[in-house]
Amino acid sequence: MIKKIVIPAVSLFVICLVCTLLLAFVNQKTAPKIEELAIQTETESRAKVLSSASTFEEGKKDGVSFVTGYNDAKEVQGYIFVTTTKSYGGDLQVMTGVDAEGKVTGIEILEISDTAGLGMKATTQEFKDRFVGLVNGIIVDKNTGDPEKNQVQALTGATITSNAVAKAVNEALAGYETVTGNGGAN
Amino acid sequence: MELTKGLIALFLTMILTQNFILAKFLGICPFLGVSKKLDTALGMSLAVIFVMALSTAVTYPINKYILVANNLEYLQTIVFILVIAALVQMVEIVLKKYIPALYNSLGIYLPLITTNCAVLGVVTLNVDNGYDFIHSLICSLGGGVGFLVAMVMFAGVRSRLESCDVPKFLKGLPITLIAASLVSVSFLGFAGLVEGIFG
Amino acid sequence: MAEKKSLGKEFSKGIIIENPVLRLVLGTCPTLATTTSVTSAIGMGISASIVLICSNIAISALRKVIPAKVRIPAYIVVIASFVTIVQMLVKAFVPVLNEQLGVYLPLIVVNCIILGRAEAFASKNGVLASAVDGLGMGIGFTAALFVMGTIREILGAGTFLAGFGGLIGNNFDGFSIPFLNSNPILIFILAPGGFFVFGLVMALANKLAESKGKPKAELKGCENCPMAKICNVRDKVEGCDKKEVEA
Repeated sequence: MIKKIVIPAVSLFVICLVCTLLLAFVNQKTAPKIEELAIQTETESRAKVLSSASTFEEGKKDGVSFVTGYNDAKEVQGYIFVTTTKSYGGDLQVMTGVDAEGKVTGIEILEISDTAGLGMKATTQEFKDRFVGLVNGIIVDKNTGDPEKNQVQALTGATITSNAVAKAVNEALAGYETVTGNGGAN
Repeated sequence: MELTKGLIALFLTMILTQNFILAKFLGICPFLGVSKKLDTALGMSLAVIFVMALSTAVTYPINKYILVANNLEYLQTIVFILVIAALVQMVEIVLKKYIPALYNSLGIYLPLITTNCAVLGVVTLNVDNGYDFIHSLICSLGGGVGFLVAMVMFAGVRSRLESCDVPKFLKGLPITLIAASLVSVSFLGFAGLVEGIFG
Repeated sequence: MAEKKSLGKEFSKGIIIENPVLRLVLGTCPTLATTTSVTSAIGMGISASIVLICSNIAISALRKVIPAKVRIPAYIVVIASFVTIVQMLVKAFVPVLNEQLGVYLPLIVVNCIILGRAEAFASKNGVLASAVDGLGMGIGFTAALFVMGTIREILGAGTFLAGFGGLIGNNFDGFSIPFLNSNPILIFILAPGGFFVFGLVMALANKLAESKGKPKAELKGCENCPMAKICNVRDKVEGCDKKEVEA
């Protein structure tokens, strides 16, 4: 009886215990590094979408979380918003920088799980730059992207991803209006 | 209303555009291994749906109230796979003892499911996507039904393939994979459908 | 395995004669899912190989201590631990790879190659032989992924080794293939292309095996499956001989 039940159970328990201890040890070593990386990525993304700002301060107004960017002279350069929408392969998270006039200064894709070669092209600098200078109400167009008409040209074969990015940026711009209380540069 | 709409959209997405087998490549082994006959394909898929839904229902509280609450997220993989393995064993024992008829039709597939990556896959995806309980459950059900749809369709394709005159060098596994590729192409056609309806 | 094979043979068999992907038809999920680019294919190959070698060593060292009854759960715990360790290391040191592999990184746990080798080899052989077996199988797995990834990336994206610098920490961004780069045949990196290329590579491997007088790779469903001994489906699946499994 003891041989049949206790020994297997105890040995399995010991294996589990040793494995868990090992994992806890490795986790303790790697967790600070992972956290550090996340903070570093966040700072880098902030600097990219709002390059004129050098210091950042987090804030919240009417349920909208945002980050205010200041230059060295402590003047407000713009705001940064992180918005999430649904795309082809799941959630799509975008960080958008908006200047004091309500124009997009830059976007970064923080999270995307779309098809490689199609939707994933949204992470190319060329596509991200298509949004710079646009204001709230961005329209996605399949053929042309005319900045004058506040249009963005869709990625070939990835209209859904393009729409999702545009929707996220529009949400960020709506957030800007909430935060500043004006209708932007229209 | 908004919630129901979102859930239906998620359910359809998991079946059509994010199909576990044809788009995410999870559970390819049973897809190729037990899809030769319709009845085995059906039995396997039903067992998968059941285990997926059950493991999601069990792992969700474990993850939320034990692992996340105590900052033990790094134990997720090991805990999930053990829970799945234990659940499968338990279901098998219960079925064998109390519902032998069901055991004979579905139970025999259960041991295979422990190492089926679709089950661990759906549990991990739910955590990665930060779904709440009801979304997790719908995601698993959709994933399971998608698995069933792909398996049953492919069983039909394969029964036709048996009587085909296949070039010698493609006989066996290669032509099966190429047939799977064509079935997968047909599922690409669903791209944008769910967004079009619910967008 | 009573007869003593040379270590060299244990090593080389995994690469060609018993290539886990192309000959034993194991680990098909990651083979299809992570070969959209050579970089992620190599990343997956190396991560899985590390887990395979470590778990082979650990299981072989513990083979006399683990009671036969709880063998499978014990193997799963050991493998899952190594996977989690690899996952944490990847997150900390190669974050790009973590993004590329996503959910497929924790899913190495259910990669049949690893549990399969634990059951078929490491539980019966010494530590050194198991380590060498793991290394050979790992290289075989990585090589198969590399071939698939190369074909799919060149045809489907018109690049080769794009983003590889991210793995080794520099800015190397691979090569771009003229013409294909501006006109990629996208379907090759989409899901159907995965099945298609795998089918063709498999046909080629069969052809080569045939010319050497070896049998074709068949998905026997059971012979190489780690769960074979406790599984009852085998009575229902063709080509699944009970005796073969017991042997």
